Amino acid sequence: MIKGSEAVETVKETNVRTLKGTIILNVIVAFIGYFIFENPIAFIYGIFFGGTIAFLNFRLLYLTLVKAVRMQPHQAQAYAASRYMIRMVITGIVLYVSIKSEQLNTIGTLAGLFSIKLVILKTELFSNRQFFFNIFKRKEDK
Amino acid sequence: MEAITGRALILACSAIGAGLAMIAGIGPGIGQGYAAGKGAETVGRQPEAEGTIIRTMLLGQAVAETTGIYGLVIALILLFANPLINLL
Repeated sequence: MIKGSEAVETVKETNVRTLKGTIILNVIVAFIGYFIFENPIAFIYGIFFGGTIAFLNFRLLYLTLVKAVRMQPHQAQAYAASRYMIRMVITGIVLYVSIKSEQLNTIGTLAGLFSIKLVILKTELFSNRQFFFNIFKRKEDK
Repeated sequence: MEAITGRALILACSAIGAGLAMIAGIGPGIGQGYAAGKGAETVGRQPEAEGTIIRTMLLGQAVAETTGIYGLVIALILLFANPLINLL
């Protein structure tokens, strides 16, 4: 039987792996954006800003879920939905600041905000290459 | 009576559009709440699987939030950085 602390360790490992992936992706996007945008510093600031907030939101989601799974189901529903609204408001404030500020590029902020989702999709969903090879095979050949 | 200018019409329609775009934010909230409720139910039934349940929910809910953020981005752009006004 896996103890609770060992199981949470696995979630922590996932968090660390996602953070590393996000940093690597953001550095690559910042490097590409440096040559594309007229004001590359604003773009890099935007990516840093968006990426940081995205990871903090991810951390907030983790804390919410850890707390929610120990509640009664109906309480957990209300708690998770209310916390989602808080995260949404935080994202809204970040985007508003990014749109209004001269020092931040909005496209950079968006790239930073969505980077964590791309990392999760890449590491968890599209990590199995064999799956794509099997798409074009008939069931009998698998 | 004063005639409605093109700019005022665009601003009014943009505000309505922003409101409609924010409907996209409701779905993930309901979904996340539902998933968390089911997760709590499952942890109650099978406490040793808590880590796996949290991990799966974490990754799923993080990706599910994306559609809500899309709507939010559209709404904020329509309200504060409307590209349609420049077309007048």
